[in-house]
This record gives sequence, C-alpha cells and structure tokens, in this order.
Amino acid sequence: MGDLARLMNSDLFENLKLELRRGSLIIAVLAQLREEHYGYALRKALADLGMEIEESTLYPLLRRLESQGLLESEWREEEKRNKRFYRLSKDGAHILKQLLEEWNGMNSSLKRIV
Amino acid sequence: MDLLERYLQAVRTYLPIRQQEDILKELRENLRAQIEDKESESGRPLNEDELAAILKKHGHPLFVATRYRQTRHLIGATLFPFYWFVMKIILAIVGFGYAVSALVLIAQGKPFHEVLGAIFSYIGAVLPTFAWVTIAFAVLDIGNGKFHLLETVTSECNKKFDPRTLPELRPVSDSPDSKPIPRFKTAFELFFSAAFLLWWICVGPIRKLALFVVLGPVGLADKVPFQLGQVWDTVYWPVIVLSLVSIAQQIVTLIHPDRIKFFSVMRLITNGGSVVVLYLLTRASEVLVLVPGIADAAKFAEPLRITNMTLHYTLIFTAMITLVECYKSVRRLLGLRSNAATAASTMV
Repeated sequence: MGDLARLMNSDLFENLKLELRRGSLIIAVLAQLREEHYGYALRKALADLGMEIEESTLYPLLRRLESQGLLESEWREEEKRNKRFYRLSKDGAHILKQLLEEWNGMNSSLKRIV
Repeated sequence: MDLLERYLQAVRTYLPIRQQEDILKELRENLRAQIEDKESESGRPLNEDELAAILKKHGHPLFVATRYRQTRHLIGATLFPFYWFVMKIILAIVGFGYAVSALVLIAQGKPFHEVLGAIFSYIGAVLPTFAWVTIAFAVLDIGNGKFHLLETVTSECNKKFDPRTLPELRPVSDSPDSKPIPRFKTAFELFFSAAFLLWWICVGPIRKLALFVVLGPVGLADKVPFQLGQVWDTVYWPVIVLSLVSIAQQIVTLIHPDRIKFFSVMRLITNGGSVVVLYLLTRASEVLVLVPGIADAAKFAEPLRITNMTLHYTLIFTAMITLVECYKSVRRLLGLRSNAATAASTMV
C-alpha cells in the first residue's frame, strides 16, 4: 500500500472513530453525572474509567448539555474555591435511560452481526 | 499564574461576548484544579515550562473558544441540495434574459462588439446572483432551524408522492448516441440559431451581409467594392425556413432532451437542407460581385477572383462537414432502432 493510500486510510479511520465516539461520549458524560462533579474532576473520573476526553471537548460539551436541559449546574465553594458542579437533571435521567436502551440494543445487534 | 491569565485573556478574545465571564470563570477553575493536581503530584509549584505544557495541551485559544460557539454554517446539509438546484435554475433564467437582450441588440442592427459585450456582461451578473441566492438560502436555513419548514415541506411531498406516476422506463444503453442531449448544449445552439435568424432577416440590404459579421452595419456598403451575388437572393428564404425548423427542434429538445429520435430526424432534415443550400452557393459562378458602377473596376477584378475562389472552397468544406453531420444522424437513428430491438427481445 502506498504512503498516500496509508495516509488516507488513517484519516478515514480517525474520522470514523470520531463519529463512533461522539455519541458514546455523551452517554458516558451523562452516566457519570448521575453523581455530581465539576469539570476537571469529571474528566479525571472518566479517564480513570478508560474514557479519555480532551478538556477542550468536555467543557463546552457540559455547557451544551446544560443548555439542552440534560444537566443542571450550580456554583459552590469547595476547598475554599468556587467551582461549577454539574449533575444529571430529571430530563437528562430520562434521556439517558432511553439512550442506554438504544445503545444496548445496537450493541447486541452488532455482536450478532460481527 | 501570569501565564494562565494571559492564556485566558487570549481565549476571551474569541468568545461570545455575553458568555465570556461565565466561561472564563469556569475555565480558570478547571485549569487551576489541573495545575494544583500536578503540583501536588510533584510536591512543588510548577515552573513556567510545565505550566506552558498544560496550556499547550489544552489547545490554542482560538480553537478552544470556537468549541464554545454554536456550530455554524451558512447553508446546512439538509437545505444544500435544494439550494444548488434553485441556483442552477436562477442562473439559467438570468442567462436567458441576457441571451434575449443580445438578440434584441442583433435585431436592432447594433455592431457586433456591442452584442458581444451584452453576452459577456452575463458573467458580471453571475456573481451578484450567486450572492443573493446564497443570502436568501442562508436566511431560509436560519428559519428552517427555528420553525422546521423543510420538515413540513418534505412530509407534505412524501404524502403526495405516488411511485406509479413516475415516467416510463427508458431503454438502457451504453451508446453515447442514445443518451439525452445536454440542455446546456441545446440552449447554446438555440441562442445562436435565433441570433443568426435575426441577423439574416435584419441585415438589409443583404449586400452588407458578409462584412456585418466583423464590423457591424456602419455604412460599410459604401466603402467596399464587393457585394453579394444574385445566388444569395435565391437562398434567402430556404435559409429562413431551415433556421425556423432548427429553432423548433431546439425548443423541443430543450424541453424533452431524451427525444433522441426526434432530434436525429430533425437534424437530418436541417443538415440535408443546409447541404442543398451550400450546393446552390457553390454552383454559383460568383458568390461576390463588384458593386455596379464602381470606379477602377479592373483594379478589383483579381482580388474578387481570389476572394470568390476562397469562398468557393470554404463552402465546399462546410458542405463536407455538414454531410458528416448527416451521416452521424443516420448512424444515431440506426443505433436507436437496434437498441429498441434489443430492449424488446430482453423484455420478452
């Protein structure tokens, strides 16, 4: 395989991986926020569980999910520092349940297919 | 921490104004937590290089800030096919308008360079047309995002769509002769046929004909020693009839580009007629003659002979090309017949 073809394949793989990750990340974030976290702590918690997310992706994502009503947040002092804590909202919990059902369904179908 | 503040200041530049403070406050806390985490790992304050490494990993201020903005596009993927379809139609309509104005100029007997200028001004009109259609669709896209207009239209169209109303299946063939005639090509031909017809009718007296092409009808008849011979009066009406038949064929082909048989038959007729006209012209002893009563007629005799000889061979060459076109039409018609027979046997 030529260098160009290899490069194109690797780009293609990265794009497909990105598409695959996009939906999974939202599920992971929503699920992890069943417990309250602030941005950096959430990132660490997800990384500890094997789900690495870049800060520049996670922090804007949290704000977007909050604006969609799936998360709620509050500024609170912790260790003498003001931090913004996020948690799953009622609507978020409902959507997460539906997303998990969908994901489980797709996952078992995929397992049968591949 | 000076470096952190400088970084945040740079991010602020690209953030939406109303959210700047809130986003920066949160970002500052998250970055500080990360820095403190590193410090407690190493048991000492971070030096500038280590701090720079954290900020570098976090990303360039422009790209970090961009992530906080809503994804923006001028025309979204849903609307884009409609946008492109409408754009092509509108550009065609504008092109038609300019073609008509060029034809009007020809009918008015304006010089050729003015007509050419009118045609080329279409290129200047394309850009603003492109911009306005794009702006209109960008506004529509915003409206669509808010009111879901396209979803309503799509669902209505889907409701009304009945597959049984689709056109009959055309016989499939790989032969280029059985492919639909491109509309752009036909539109181009139609414009030139109409322009030629107008020019042929409006150039009067007809003796100006040959020179009009280059210089326009600006009193040239009085300055040149030649005029068209008697044979041109003989072919005057046949040329008008042939042009009208061509225009009729081109209009039908423009509307129904897949009527290949009609196209080929009509082309055969007009090309055959053209060969006859060219034959009449080549048979004439003098295509051009001297203007009667011209002084120094003997001086122009040799140039006239050379010009007539050149024209004679040019007409023969044109007739040969037209005969090749006739052959192509016949071949296309025969090809269509064999394709139809093949399709019929396949269906059986």
